[in-house]
Amino acid sequence: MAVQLTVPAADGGRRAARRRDGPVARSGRLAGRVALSLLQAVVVAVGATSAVFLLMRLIPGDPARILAGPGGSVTEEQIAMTRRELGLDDPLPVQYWDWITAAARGDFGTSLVLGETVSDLLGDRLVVTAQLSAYSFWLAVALAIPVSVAAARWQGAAADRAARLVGSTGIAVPSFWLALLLIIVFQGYLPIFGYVPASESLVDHVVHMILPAVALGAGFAALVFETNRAGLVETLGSDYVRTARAFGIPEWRVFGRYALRNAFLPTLTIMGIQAGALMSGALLVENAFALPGMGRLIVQGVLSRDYPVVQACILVIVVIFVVVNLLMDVIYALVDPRVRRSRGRA
Amino acid sequence: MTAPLLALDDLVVSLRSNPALRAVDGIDVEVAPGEAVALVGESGCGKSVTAYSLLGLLAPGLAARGTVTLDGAAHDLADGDRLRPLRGRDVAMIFQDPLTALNPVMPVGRQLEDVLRVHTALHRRGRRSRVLELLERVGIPAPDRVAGSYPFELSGGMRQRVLIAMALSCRPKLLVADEPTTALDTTVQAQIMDLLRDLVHDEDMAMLFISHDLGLVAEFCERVYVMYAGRVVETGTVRRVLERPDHPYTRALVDCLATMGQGADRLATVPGSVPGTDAMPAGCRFAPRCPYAVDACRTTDPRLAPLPDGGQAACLRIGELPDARSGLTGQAEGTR
Repeated sequence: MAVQLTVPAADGGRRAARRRDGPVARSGRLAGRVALSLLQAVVVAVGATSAVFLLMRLIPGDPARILAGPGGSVTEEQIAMTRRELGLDDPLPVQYWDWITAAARGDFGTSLVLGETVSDLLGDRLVVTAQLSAYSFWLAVALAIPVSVAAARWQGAAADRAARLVGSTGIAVPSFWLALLLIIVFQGYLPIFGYVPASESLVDHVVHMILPAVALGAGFAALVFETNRAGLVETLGSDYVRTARAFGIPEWRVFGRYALRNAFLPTLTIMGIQAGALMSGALLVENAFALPGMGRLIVQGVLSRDYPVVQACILVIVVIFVVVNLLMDVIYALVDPRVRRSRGRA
Repeated sequence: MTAPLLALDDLVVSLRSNPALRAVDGIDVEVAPGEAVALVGESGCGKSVTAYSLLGLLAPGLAARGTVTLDGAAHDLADGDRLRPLRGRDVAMIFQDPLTALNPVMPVGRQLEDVLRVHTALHRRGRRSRVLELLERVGIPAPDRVAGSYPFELSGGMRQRVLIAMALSCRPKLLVADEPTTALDTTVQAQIMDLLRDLVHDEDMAMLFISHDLGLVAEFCERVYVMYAGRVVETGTVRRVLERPDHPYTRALVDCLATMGQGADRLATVPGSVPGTDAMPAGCRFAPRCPYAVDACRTTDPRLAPLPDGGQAACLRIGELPDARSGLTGQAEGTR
């Protein structure tokens, strides 16, 4: 007998079928989910990289010609030779295959313009971008979760209404615009541009990262706040919270064990989806604050048709995106028994 | 009647935003120890609101007024939080939809343990074994497996049994059952009702049974309060109220049930619907739908008055109405 759930908002639209299995079958299903997600990840990676691969080659502009520089001092024969050396004469599938197999071994080739290996270029910049994203993420979570809990607890109060107003504004404001605003407001008070590694000076590092992290994290924080508050308002009014109260379970326990825990499920989903978007937002914010992250590398790479650099950057971002989503899927399955214990399609 | 276990005195439930709008308008309900009492009426007549206000569980937009006397101790209904000590311990409640009434992401055994943690001094192991006892008590086979299951893994009947086990866990004096079988299919409904009857009998609990199903009420309850638009319009023993209903509204309800039993071409219905709290008629609230209404009914608000054969009804024309048509049991005999 299949029980049709009236799908609660908290279960992410997944239908649960009634199952009674032993622990072996359960862990088997979890492994199956992970395997399926991994397969999806590979498909996404191949799709995204080949799309970028093709797009780069569709943009007008021949890297060999750009390398040669303006003016007529270079002959057509020399350009043709450069193209051959760079492998640009091979058919596109061959070029893609050569690139992706090398990339799988960790060899992303050499920048056409900067002369360094792409791995070297990427290494430092990836650290900056990852730091910026991580700071924004935790800043947002540390702010949004407690505020949303307070807002839902005292819903309708003036503070709640104010928080919601700020929240909906935060969702609407684009990060690069907020970045410019912060620059205008804080110039003279805080160092605006540049990057100091944490190993050099922790204080300077933090001071330089504050504004970018705020600019990037604001929208994310607003979204987490709204989702978690809405989830809490719903669970606080739910039948099972009423049941818990009807049986005399203390209010703090009702709030924590019954309302908050269940409300956190949709919030977790949003955090997973948005963690990837945070990365792409970071690329814009880096440019505004002149942080030497991947964002600037990509922009430079696109402008100079530096194929290997752009492709490698996109591949890295896609992989991070996919890994974060995979991680969230697993976390979700661990937290929500309706997903964990059902024969699920991810 | 012996001293009542529960006495609800002049309960008024109104909207906080507009206290003139009343979902429940001054009702008295009494339940004797060990007695099964029904609260019946159409949807929206205030049955469930009455039950929730007993435990201070009204929605935030509603405010209650009045007192509840439970086992001799009086409590003010206005402050829901003050009623918290009663919850689960003295009065337990089971609900209409056992799926949404249980936490979807907690094994049902843990939810039972949570209740035991509040009301008993048992330690972990003690709670565990008590949970299994309780589940077995409500007729659940393989209680250890069910205790580890999540609500979505159980059938509707099983979930309701789990809730009943939860209600039993603290040996309350009163069980409030808010349409406990409405969400279940008919065969399961009968099982659950049988279980409830046995438990109420064995544990010597009183039951306040909220339902719109007069058939169930006739079978399981001793006394009944018929509610209409926030008021009690008739009360008395189930036998009297269902066999010889005095109030036109009760008559209409009983007629609906009786025609169902006869396989009539068209089921009898009560024409119209319950007035909203913002559109209460001036006189008798049932007058607009009442076939016997006269002009006085539209201006005078009738109060509950004693009936010659016991019980009470709120109707101006009691005694003037044509003889009560043979009610539920009479109809059933007539078809035989």
